[in-house]
Amino acid sequence: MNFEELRNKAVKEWRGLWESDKPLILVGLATCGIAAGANSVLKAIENELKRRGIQANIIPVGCIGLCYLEPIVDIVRPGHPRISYCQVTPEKAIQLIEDYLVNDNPRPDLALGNFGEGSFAGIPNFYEHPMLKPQVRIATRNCGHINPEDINHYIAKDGYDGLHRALAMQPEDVIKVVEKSGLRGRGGAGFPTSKKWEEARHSKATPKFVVCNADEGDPGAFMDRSVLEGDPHSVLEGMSIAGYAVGTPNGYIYVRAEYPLAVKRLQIAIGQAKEVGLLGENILGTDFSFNVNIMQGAGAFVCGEGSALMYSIEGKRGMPRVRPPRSVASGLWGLPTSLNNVETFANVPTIITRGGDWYAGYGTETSKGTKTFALTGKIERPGLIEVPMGINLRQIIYEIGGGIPKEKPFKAIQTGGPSGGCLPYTLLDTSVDFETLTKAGSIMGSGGMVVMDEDTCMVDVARYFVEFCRDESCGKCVPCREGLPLMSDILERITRGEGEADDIQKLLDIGETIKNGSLCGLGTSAPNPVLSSIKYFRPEWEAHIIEKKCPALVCKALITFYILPDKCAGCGICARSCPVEVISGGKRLIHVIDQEKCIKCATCLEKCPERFSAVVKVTGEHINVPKEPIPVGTT
Amino acid sequence: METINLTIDGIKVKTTKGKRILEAALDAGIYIPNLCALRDIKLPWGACRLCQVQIEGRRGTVTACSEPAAEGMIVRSDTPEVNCLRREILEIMLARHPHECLTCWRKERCQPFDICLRNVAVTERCVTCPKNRHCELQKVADFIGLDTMAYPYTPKGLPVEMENPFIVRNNNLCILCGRCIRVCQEVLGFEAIAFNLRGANTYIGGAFGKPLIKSGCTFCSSCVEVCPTGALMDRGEEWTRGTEREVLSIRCKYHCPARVDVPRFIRFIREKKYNEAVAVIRESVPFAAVCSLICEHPCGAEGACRRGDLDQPVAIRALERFAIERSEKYGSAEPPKGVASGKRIAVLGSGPAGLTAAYYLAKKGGHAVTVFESSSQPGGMMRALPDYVLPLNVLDAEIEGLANLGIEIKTQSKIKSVDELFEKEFDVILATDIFTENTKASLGKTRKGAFTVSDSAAGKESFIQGVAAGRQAAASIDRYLGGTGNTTEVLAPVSDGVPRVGRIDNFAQRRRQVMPTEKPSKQIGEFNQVELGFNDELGQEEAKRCMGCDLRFMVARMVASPEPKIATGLVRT
Repeated sequence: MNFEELRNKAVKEWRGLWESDKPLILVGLATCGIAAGANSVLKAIENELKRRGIQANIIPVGCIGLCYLEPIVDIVRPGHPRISYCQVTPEKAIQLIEDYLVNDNPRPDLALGNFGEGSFAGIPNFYEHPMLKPQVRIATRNCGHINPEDINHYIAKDGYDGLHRALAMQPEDVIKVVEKSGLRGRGGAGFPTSKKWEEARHSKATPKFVVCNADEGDPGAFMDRSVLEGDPHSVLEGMSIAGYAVGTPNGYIYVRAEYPLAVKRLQIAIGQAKEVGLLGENILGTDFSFNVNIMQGAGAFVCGEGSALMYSIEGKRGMPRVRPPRSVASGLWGLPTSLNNVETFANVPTIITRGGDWYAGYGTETSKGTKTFALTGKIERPGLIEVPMGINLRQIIYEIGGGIPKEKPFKAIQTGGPSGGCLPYTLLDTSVDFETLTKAGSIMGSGGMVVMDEDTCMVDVARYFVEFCRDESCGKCVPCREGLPLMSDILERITRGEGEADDIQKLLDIGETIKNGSLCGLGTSAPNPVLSSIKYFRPEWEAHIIEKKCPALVCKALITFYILPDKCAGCGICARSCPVEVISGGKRLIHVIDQEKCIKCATCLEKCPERFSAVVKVTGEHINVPKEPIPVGTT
Repeated sequence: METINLTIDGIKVKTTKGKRILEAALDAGIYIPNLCALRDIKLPWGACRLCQVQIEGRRGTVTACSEPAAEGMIVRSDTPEVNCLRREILEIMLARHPHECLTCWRKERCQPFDICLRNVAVTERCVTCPKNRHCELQKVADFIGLDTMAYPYTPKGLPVEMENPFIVRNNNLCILCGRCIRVCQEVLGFEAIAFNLRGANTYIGGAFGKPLIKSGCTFCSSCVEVCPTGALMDRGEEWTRGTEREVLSIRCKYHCPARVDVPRFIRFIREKKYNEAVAVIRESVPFAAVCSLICEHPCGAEGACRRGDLDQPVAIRALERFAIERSEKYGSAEPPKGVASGKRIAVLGSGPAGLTAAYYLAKKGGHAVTVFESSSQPGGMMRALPDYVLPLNVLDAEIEGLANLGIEIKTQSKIKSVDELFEKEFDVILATDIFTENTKASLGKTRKGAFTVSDSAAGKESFIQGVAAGRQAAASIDRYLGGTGNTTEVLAPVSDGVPRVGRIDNFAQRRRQVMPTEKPSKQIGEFNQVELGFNDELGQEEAKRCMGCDLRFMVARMVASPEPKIATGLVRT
């Protein structure tokens, strides 16, 4: 079957779904959806349709990015536009079937948006949603729209067109198109993709390898997972194009074993692509062959580093090695290897189809195109976003993310995972591109973004990230292996309230040494959270060390809970709920917390009725309270 | 090989293309501190991060071990930036390494067993560490100049592994430079040790956390040799230093009077290169075939083969026989090369000592040798042995080989007095039959040009003693006649690099192979242990038991650094 026939068949099947007289139901079944309960929603829908005898097509789709609104169910009634419903529970799903499919009431109150032209029945256009409006979806173009387990859906949405076109070009021309697009590695370092391919192509040794890095280990990052779960073929197609450009039939995907769904969908996708001749020997009848093997990582963060990843594929201990030689000259098994990130590959097919200039139309002078981010933390609308480079942090946080919950003030944003930096309010207008973020003391990284509000203690955050890197260090080079424990010991001491005057200087010294002296990217960037945090939030650090205060009221050793005598009504709720039973008192007596035994769990603070609000959390100050419970009103 | 010129610390250095800055500097005698570097290895490791240097025109610092030398490069290893970073890294490294031995101002003066005046815990005193004064870490710390410590010492508190008779591993002193692992895995291919766990908990030990004795470790102790700290030590030999180390380590070779390079020939057997294996034996014993049958094998005696400390010694002589039986030719060597000296030498007696001396005198000295034997056939004590011990055809083949060297053997020629020979214009007489009345009488007084040697110099008649003594005599005589006295022969190929031995599973669990014996019906008299020699499988199995005790001395070359000439110590920045 040639490509045209494949495409015609796929388009026919795809149209059949959308233009049939049966309703079409799309259920978001990526990991985020499943975690929110999408499986039970799916079951409820199936049962309800069966009970009512309604014939409908149900397809599972990937994550559309609005993770905070999962589970998302889209319903297409014949002749009507697709309507998206969010936070669907099984009960809500049954209700929707009754209201919309049976009674033709699209329930605008429950709907999120419609995919038609303009608004429909009082439901706004889906893309008018504030979270989606500023976004440009290229790498995640199909996520949430197609069934990732059906290759025909992907082909119908222009899938494998890029590969088809690339095979008609010379490999050098393919590289030229990518060069024109300005695509840079989306794994964090931002190395120009075309340059990497070209160097790998010109390496003399054979065989060569194309490797996809899907070992996404940053806490709070899930961009690669979403792409693999929602649109695995885009990655496979990108890899095939890279294989053609580099001139090799060998492809590897290194996926974390913690992503079972992504692995499963990749396996299905590889099987399907092989079946129709889009992968394997003689792709589309040409001389070009390309095979993809899946390697599962065992959960080491450092294996996301290129050379460690390759050692891991070889079956060795995942430890980075020094460069040169770079992996394009000597990578997997000492042979030329082009290693790219999932997102980089997912961008490639569209670039080939629509041209490098089109892609370069997005972004800044040096950073072209779009970038996906996993927006998490203290934010109204966490989720997966894809934005053009050059957008500023303020737009991401306030327009896309909807700001901080409860209108609390913004404090910091941590970009680039555990090795990125914390940027303060004053840098909110920082443009999101490779150079500017690095200059500000953070990194682009693979795209994690953690937003923090005033309830976040910067010392505590720094401690968390340093501990993460300390535990994930491979143990090879001295500064990272021995320096990070030193740093984490000091940080721990500071959060315990035992900080010493020269601790900040010590942290800066060790941090600089680790940064300048470490072997791989993990080490050189691990002190970033501390260094940037000290740079931008020094008063908070000094409060911890000198005044023994935690302004954000987070560090347990530095906070105290008091029951205000003039407010306590002696109701006894706090004493009954205290898990360690250290609140003494009685009926109509002012309750007293035994400070020595208090574990600072804040249960009393939460349980004290709002009309009394007698429990307070303070840091660094002493409030006079009676030593023993005394009758209410005696103070 | 393309030559590259670069400047390191203002000194012009020449090196070959492909070498890294560190190697170029060390070759030129410029010391750059390093703890994890190994020479002649394809990929640098780059873990200790101490060899930081600056390159003119580049931002920041790079590690000299990983940066390839380039034409015209200007490298500086002593800038304030480099010194500062190096020092910080060393301080961080020492946060979990006992460091009194590195920072104590008295460390130059104390001798072993001196009383420590510095209130240092017993286990952390420099004088209780066997590596004291031989420690690379000390050398580095002295060079960088460490007088105080920025960070408190936190002990690791790891157990000391000493479950085997050879190697003590004290991970508390380990700085995880990885040299031992790379030597074991990449160079020798044993793959017995590895990094375990990760991050700050990383430690080196038997692969998958097993003790060495179960991890396939062959106890070749190459890891001990390259260890820059006191983390790896030879057990019981901790305090031994200097040249005797080779004698104490390659015990088979040095227990052999003839110094047969046993580990080397066993390695050839393992590679199934039997001709080369026999050539190695022949380098020390000209009659290798005879040796393989009748040698008293002191190499297997108590306290000799190191494997004996583990279970039982390797059956070295049996392996010699195994190799001889599989080699293509074991006749004697080619005719001598070089110019004839024109000197005539008479050797009295054709036992092991006499024939060995004749062999070397003829082959290496180029002398004309005549051997006088009183009985009807040459061989001396060798011919007296029963046939099932030493078949006569083997002996005859070996002796026939001597004719190629131009050695004349006169049988049934009783010499009444040595004077008679000097009269026949022999320059030198070597008497090996000193117990015969005639010789004894005529040697009664000191004679110029008369030498004696005996198979039974040690009091007991011994083949291998005789060979050794004969060779020694040959050297003395050659020197007496104005030669160099060199009896060293290279018959087997010698490679430059360290041999890659390859993994041996269950090394410590392999039991000694027993040689099959003749059926009882075919046994001769009361002698019921007629050995038949190993078959292919048994021989290979037995060869795998060899610990390769000489490997460590080959590996030692990989860590050689010049002594630092200028101490930049105490340059505070």
